[in-house]
Amino acid sequence: MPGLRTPLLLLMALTPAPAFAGTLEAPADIAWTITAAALVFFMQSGFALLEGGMSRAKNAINVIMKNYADMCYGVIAFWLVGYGLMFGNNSGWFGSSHFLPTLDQNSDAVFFIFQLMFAATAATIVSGAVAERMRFTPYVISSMIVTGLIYPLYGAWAWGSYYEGEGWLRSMGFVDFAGSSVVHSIGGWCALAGVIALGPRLGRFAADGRARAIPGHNLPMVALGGFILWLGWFGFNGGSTLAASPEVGIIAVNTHLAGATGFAAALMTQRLLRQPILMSLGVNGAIGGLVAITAPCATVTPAFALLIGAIGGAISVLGASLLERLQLDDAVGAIPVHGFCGAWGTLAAGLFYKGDLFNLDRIVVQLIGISTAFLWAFPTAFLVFWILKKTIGLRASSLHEQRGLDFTEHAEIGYPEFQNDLTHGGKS
Amino acid sequence: MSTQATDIARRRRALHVGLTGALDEAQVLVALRLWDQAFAQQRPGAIIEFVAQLSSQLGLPPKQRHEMRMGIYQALLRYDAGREPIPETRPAGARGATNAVASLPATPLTSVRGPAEYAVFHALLQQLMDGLLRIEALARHDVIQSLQQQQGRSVLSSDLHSALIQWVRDDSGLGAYAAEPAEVLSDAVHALYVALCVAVGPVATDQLLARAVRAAEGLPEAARFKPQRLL
Repeated sequence: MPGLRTPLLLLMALTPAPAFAGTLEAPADIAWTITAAALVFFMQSGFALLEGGMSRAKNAINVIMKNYADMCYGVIAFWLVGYGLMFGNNSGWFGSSHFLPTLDQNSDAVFFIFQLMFAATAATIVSGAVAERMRFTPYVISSMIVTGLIYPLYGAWAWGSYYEGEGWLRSMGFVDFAGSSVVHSIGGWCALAGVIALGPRLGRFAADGRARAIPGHNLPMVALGGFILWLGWFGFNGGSTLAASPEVGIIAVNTHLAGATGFAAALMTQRLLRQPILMSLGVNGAIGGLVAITAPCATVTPAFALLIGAIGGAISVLGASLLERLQLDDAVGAIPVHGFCGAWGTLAAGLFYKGDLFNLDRIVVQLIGISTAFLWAFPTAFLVFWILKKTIGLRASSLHEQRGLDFTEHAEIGYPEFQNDLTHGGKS
Repeated sequence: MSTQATDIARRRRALHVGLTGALDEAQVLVALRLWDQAFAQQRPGAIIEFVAQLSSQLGLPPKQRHEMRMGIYQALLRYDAGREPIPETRPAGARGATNAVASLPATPLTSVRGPAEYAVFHALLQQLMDGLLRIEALARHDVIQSLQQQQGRSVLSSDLHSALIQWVRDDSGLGAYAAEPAEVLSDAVHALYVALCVAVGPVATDQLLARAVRAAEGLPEAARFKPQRLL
């Protein structure tokens, strides 16, 4: 397409330094990136609290176990193949070096640990959506495939490479500074595939199609989880500079503003829809705002950050409603928050690019990136879930749903003092 | 559930809304029974005939008969044809959804002959259904329908599954299974649990089950066979 070449070259010239442009050799850069990696790691506890709190008491341990598995098995998959696929020498489509990396260079090790935390974040988005009915073993397998293949391959197109070569999306000028699409949409679309493959929880939808609420067992946990995620986001977005540079300041400001307006807009949307103003949807709105600002956090002004976050918050509420109408059971609202808001944030990065507002060429590139994320992650994840369903089985039996996955999958229950009535008494 | 079954359930709920404005609670139950037996599957469009038969059965005066017919048409137009969400049709005292379950007192347990396993099993089922009907007076139909849909996929024998449906319908027919091992009885409890989840949702069902277990623990037989072994 020769006609596209000139605008694309211009786009590339205008695009800021990629997320990992720092050399990671200066002590301050290393200190900041490692701190940011720790903050992103801490987000796992936010996810665990939020998803655990939103599930029923009899499934809380199972959900938290899946969060642990995402982090721990994800490390293995990402180290084995994911890192090489994503950041190895890139032909445009995938990385082909640095598998089982030895990380001899200190800067490589710093970069690796930071990226490892991102990979685990993408995987853990799925666990909340499929909560309360997916068996643990197939979940772990799918999680490893997300961190070892689905996430890194898209990452190679959008962010590759750290060494030589360049991913095809990145070479077009695609902007996703910290991963609205690379991390969040990919996780969201994998979650959508899982939700469709699994089907809804027992009784989630009435015979006439009405959605029934299945309230979480601990809303204070949800609120605390939301705050921890928010805290972690400063590392997630701010750390993506890979340098202790002054631009971390504006990134942090934009991040915080978008989270705040996401929460406010979620409340206003509920109000406009004449729904009760739910805290759980408010927390999801804040996270929706944070997801949305993840791609454009370094390339928009604070005013646009406010707008991007607000639209993200509204999308998280409206998206949850849409899923209910479609009778798709997303236990925690992960698909609207990460999938839909991720797509919106990626588009917003093109729309509101500082100094180059509403550039149609840039918007087209962003749309290509958004649709590529869906067209790659959703069918691939669905195929993975379908194969698991046909081979080892994906879904817990209805008896296990009755007993709770804590007991049936792990032989442990979260709150033994309060769950005696419904805890299976053995033998039968 | 198939679209046809969904439509039938929806029309029934719409009908329930229409009837509630014109009849008292007992009459509504009679009306819905007539609907289920003679109209729901066979002639769901025969509203005039349904009204005529029901009026004759209940001996309704012309004015009430007219009000009932208008109420039914309005409800069907609004909720069935118009596809608006149908409001809850629980008895007033049971509104507030699942919190109502927690405050329900247990009903007295009736003793049955048979081994301890069966006594506990029977008490569990009895308490489950009793609690269910107290929060959703018209849920029996949905439970039966759900059990019928499970048939064929259930791990229960066909005979026991049919007996369970019969028991839900009129509280009889399970005595022949008193000697069944606890594993089989546990499967029957689970089949009913699934049907309740479909009828009133998983949250209310878990609360009903917890209430039933607590009540069954009061049986003398529960000292020998804990109700939790049937879960």
